[in-house]
Amino acid sequence: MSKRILVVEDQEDNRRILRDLLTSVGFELIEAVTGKEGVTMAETHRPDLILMDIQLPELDGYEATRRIKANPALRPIPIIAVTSFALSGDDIKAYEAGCDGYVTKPFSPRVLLAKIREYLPEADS
Amino acid sequence: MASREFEQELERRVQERTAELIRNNEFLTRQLSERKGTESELKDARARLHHVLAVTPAIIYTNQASGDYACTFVSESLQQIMGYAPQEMLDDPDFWTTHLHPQDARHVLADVFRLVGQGGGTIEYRFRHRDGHYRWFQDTFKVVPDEAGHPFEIVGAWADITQRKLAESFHVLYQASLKIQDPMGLKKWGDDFLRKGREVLHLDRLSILLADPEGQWLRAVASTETDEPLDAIRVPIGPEGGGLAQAYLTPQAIVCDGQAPVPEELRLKPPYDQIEAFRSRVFAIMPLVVQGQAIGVLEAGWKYSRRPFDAAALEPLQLLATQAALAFEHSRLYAAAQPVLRGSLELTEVYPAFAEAVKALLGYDRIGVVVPEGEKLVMALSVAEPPLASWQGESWPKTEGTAVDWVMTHKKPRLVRDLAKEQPFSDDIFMVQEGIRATLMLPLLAGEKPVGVFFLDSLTPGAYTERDLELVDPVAQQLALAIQNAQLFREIEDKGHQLEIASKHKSQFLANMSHELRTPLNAILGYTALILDNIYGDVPEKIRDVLTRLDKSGHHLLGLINDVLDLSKIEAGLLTLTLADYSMKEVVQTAVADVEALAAEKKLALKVAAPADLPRGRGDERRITQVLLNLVGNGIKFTEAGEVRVEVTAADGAFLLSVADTGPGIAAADQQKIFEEFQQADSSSTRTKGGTGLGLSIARRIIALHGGRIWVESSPGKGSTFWLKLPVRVERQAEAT
Repeated sequence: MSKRILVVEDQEDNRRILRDLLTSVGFELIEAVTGKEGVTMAETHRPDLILMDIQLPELDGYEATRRIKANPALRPIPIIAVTSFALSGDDIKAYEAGCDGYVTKPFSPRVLLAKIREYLPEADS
Repeated sequence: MASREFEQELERRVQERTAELIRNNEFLTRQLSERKGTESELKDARARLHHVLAVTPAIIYTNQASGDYACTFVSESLQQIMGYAPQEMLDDPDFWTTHLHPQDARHVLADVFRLVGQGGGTIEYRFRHRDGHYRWFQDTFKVVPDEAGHPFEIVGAWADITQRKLAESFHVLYQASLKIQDPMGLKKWGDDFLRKGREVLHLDRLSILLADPEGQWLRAVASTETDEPLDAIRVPIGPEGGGLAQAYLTPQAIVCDGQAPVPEELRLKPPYDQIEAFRSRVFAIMPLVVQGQAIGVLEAGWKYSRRPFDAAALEPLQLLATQAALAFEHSRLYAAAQPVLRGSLELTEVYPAFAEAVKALLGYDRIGVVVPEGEKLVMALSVAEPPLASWQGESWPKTEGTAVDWVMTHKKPRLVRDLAKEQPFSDDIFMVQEGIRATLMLPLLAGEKPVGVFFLDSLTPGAYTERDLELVDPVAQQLALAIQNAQLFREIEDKGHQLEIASKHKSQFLANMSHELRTPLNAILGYTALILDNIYGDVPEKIRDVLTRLDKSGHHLLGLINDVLDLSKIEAGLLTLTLADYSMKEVVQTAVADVEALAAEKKLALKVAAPADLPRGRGDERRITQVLLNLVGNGIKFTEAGEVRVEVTAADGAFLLSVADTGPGIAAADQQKIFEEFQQADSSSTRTKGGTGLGLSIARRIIALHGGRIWVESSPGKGSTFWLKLPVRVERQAEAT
């Protein structure tokens, strides 16, 4: 059974790039456009991993992460922050919010996949 | 105030005397014009005359009104007032002329002749006392005609006005004392004051000593004794200080008239008895008293003369002491209020200091400061004694026709002796209802600009005079400047706040901008990477080549956007270092690993030398890595053959990093330029070698924020070495440069 990844990302192109990349290696993808939607989908779909954008409408990625991690049932789901905020302190903020990993945009497809496999080692590819 | 009452008293006495003299003159004139009367009448008249003369505290005289103007009569009071026997004057026709003060003689003689022609008049001049000093007289005389109407005799009276003159001359000095703003000014004033005092009082020595704040010493602040330095003239406040200390402590005047030896307790004890300024056997010591509190003493003495001090000499001396006390106290208060009034930008500190300063100068039932704020007037300060209420913080609309409005617009003070008698302004009536009788209002002028109105109210009619106006004006004007300073400061603060907001907007704009630019760029780079990774199927070699170029240009553009954002943040002072512990060895390895492929591509040797025992660093690891990466990247970029060598050592609490290449080198003239924005040694290299031209500028600033330094050693053809000196432990971010 393929692993399910939730992508929380407001930009259509970025969603498509992730979809194309991740489905090509056999992951099942579910997508949320806002932070709020991301939290809801995490609750209803119980994904195996979440790729979380930081600059999001309604609820930013930090807050969405905090809410997901506040739910004991969801806490074990690894969350990787994917952001174009390449500034000092952003990584620290992401870890403080509860993110397990951190990747900056633009990411190299190989680096991102390697990161994901850190958390989902048995994934088919 | 004591001196004012004293002066008023003097004035009153002089006026009384003058009136008395005029009455006497008229009486005499009548008597003398009836000379052809009977012998008995004459006898009666003479008897009455003698009686009048005996009770008159003035010198009455008669002169011939022609010829040599010889004195024909002078009253006995001449002896008492001037020390001469009447006969001396009668015997010497030139007596009057030769005893005039040389400075007055010329104009006095001219005036006398003119006034004789007019039938009489009044003149003032100085006349020499038997003991040699001069006294001021007011000479009022009348020409008595004979039967034929020709001038026959001059009948006149001298009134001693020395004390009034003294008060006048000291008042000029007192005025000057109000304007003293610094210790040098006070010193000069003290010297002038004493010189004047010595001159008018005919003393050999005068010194002013003030008690130090610790209450241990009386120190001279001015002395006419110029042979010894001022700081040598000081005595302890205690038994060793003799009469000086006693006068200060009691505080009572001490007079040694030279008639008897100086009592033991008044003598200065060794070594203070050697102070030249005090070596007099005839002396008077007056305490300088302000509001019942002694602040020092005035010492007066004769070095040569043994003329005893009498009541007549003590009176002006007392006056001098009062003036000096007030002047020194005023300047002291002024100096004390000065730092607060001048230095503080917080009006909440200024107002209480001002109220204190005023309180020490003048009595009041209420004081207040009204300042305009927009279309309103606000009572910024109000201190009231019961039963009056404080108006602190009250505000009301600006209204024409009010006293405050008048003072502000005319920039003139307003003095009302009794408000019950005049209420020209609409707001006066409210003041009267409150029971206020006297008021003094001053415009607070910062330059020409009125910044407010200061007022003093009193329940006592006539509480304030013109002189009080002069007294408080300097302090009030200091307040005006303080108010202006505070207003300016507030404006600057507002501006600064606006700038801060603008700067935040700018930084927010840049953050947004960078996000907006990066989002589409990320899509371009993302798709490109997926295509190159064959996610969408196999890519023909030709397209792969073009896509690789697209990817490179895209990453260059991204680097440019990131650099501009970094630089803007540094310039706006918004780049904050994330200080944490790091391993310098790891930093070097990370940077080198990132560019290893690049070096291999160009067949360059990439060498690293780092000792195993490097201390643990503290700083912004990511930023330091960024800098090192930039330096190593540059080295590889500009070097075509040879090697790039990274070396790191630690000594004296600092890391010393060097990145040496075997590239073309940098001309001396360009070595500074490369650390500036958008500068590369050769501007064409931006195109050929890539790079934004911002890397070194950002590197320099990041290192500066760490309190470190970056520089280059290079010469064309011999490669370049970039040096970086960085504190091992950076606990606080340095100011951006």
